[in-house]
Amino acid sequence: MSFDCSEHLHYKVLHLTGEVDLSNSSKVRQCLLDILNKGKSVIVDFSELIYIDSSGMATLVEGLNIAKKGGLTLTIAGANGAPMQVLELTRLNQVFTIVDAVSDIGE
Amino acid sequence: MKTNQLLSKDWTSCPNELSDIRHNMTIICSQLKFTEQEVNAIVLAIDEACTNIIRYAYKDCRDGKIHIDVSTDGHQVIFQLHDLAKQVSKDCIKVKASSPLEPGGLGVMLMQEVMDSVEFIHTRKCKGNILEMKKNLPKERA
Repeated sequence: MSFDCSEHLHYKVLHLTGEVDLSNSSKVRQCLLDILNKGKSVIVDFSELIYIDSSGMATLVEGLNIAKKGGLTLTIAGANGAPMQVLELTRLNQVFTIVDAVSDIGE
Repeated sequence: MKTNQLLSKDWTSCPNELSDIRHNMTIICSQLKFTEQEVNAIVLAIDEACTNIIRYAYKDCRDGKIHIDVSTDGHQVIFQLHDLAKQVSKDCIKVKASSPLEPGGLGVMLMQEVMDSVEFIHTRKCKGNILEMKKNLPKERA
């Protein structure tokens, strides 16, 4: 798993690549919390993500709750394949705002 | 009923092993003619069960043993996950959270959602826990 950050409009974009599981979800959590603590809304880019487990999803739920409390947003972009299935199985697809691609998000 | 053993293998309770466990489960489930979506879901459920063993049975201790047996009885594929940790409560595989936004329980929710049965087999003969998960085999697809 690797991740990096970029900017899109006033959003910080967290690009996740590969597999997120118990072995690395704490790194994703730290990065996500750093972004939110700086007062930035975040887009989590799933387009290169091939696997995510419940520890990864719990990290995103925690991030969403923090974002909401701070008047920020957390959006998921580009989810497909197994990660999209996880969103559906957990019914978190009804909780998160999900868009097809980062570029779909406007001002 | 006659069972057919498909896998019997040990891993450690190190989170870095999860990727290899998923790889092995993907190969087995693909050979059983599950669809790609079904394979993804089953592999996820096994991964969640192993994650729970690591976190809650072994309490993040990395040198515990996780032994996985996979077999079929002609109707179901049976996954038995053995650990050597202290016996855990059977209640820990019950879905607790009523909302996915509540902390905890996502992994158990996934296991219950994907598998046709999930249960602990507690025996006095062996130490630790045996979590047994069964999934109905796909019917013959044209």
